[in-house]
Amino acid sequence: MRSLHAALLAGILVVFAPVAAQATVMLHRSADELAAMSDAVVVASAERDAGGGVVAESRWLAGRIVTEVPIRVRVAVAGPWGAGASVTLRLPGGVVGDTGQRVSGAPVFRAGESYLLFLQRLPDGAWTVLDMSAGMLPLSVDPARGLLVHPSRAEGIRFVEPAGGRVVEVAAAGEPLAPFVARLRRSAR
Amino acid sequence: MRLAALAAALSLAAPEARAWCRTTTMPAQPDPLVCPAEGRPLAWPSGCAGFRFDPTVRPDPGDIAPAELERALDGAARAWAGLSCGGSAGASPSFALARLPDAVTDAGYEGLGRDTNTVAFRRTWGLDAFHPPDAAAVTVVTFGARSAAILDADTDLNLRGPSNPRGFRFATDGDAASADLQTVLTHELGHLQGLAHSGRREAVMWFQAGRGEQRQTPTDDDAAGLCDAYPPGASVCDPSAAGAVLRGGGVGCAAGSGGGAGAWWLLGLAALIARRRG
Repeated sequence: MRSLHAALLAGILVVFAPVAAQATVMLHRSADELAAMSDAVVVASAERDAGGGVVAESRWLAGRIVTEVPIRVRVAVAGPWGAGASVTLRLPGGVVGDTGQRVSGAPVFRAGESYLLFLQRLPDGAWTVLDMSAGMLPLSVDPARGLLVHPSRAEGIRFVEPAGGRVVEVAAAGEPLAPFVARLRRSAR
Repeated sequence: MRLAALAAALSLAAPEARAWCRTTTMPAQPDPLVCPAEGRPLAWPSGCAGFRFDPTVRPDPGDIAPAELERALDGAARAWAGLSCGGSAGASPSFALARLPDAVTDAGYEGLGRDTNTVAFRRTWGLDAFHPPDAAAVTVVTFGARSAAILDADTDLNLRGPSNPRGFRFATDGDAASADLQTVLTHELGHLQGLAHSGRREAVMWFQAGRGEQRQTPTDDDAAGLCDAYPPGASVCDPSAAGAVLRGGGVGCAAGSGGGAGAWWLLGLAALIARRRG
């Protein structure tokens, strides 16, 4: 837990991550369900360039614009990497030249922020955030409670309630990260 | 007593959740109840836009009969027509949305004048970053980064089938276990026109929907958003864009698209033009 704090305390400033505003209609999942569906779960932050911004490169891929964002793994919860690994995520949308493209709920990384990420491996081997911004839980530091994980804001997503009833969500005020991660380790495949 | 007064004061001072919002050039709507603060709001430049249904994949007729599918597609487009911007004249937004004749189209955006705003059911899903496994519907919007003009908008629906067992079942009868097709489409078409999510629970552009929930009619709040994007009398349907449509492009005016699904829209457009000239 202490190492978790040391890895994350520096530089964490959570302003909830904004996401695109177009529509995606998505089934509402709990964090445990997302963990069970994920190919990897990590605590990570986006790599930063010399100017302090997020490293990101957009390009065309099969008629769509994708943006590739390298992230640094701080804590490996489940999956093939260890702490310190650099992984490049492929995210939907971006801007190339004078053309922009967005899809609802696409995850957006902010410089200096850390997230608990549920990741999906695509058929071509690339990695992306599972269920877009729904699979991206922001972290914050609370002087009294330590590191906290918050619910995804998922602003570009319109949620459909699950058939089996309501989802048990992460508490809006945040939950301590360490026991949350321990729980997810049991859920992750 | 003091606490009550303080609470009342805070209540008065707290900013009311913004209702309708518009999509901007920046991916920034930090809270679904707060409008995007960054970027320029997106809008179609021509005062009109059309979409085509790609009939390659259709729902099982046992779930949605062909006539019901047509009704949902037409109804979702028609729902946005004739909204009132208020005022004594009762003017409407200067924008017309049309369902154009069905066409089999390629997904993606080329920018060569052949792009079409497409609504399509998909029976393969989850193969790329644009189609997350739990998504029932996804809309990809292409726009000019400098002009803030919407160039293209495609909606994919994640249809359950033998090759896509995790897809969604859609319905038009309010079935409690299914996503209501017309509700989803009406919401997506709001995004096609440049609207973001609204902070009003009853609005079509509200960001949540229960299974089987039907919310198919734009409210005054939805209308206000559209009126902001397309104030009465501010936009004119650009005939050159219509030409692009006639050649199969995605931008709008469906003049010449003939009768059937597009006829109601042509009538609306004629009324709009007549009103402007009057």
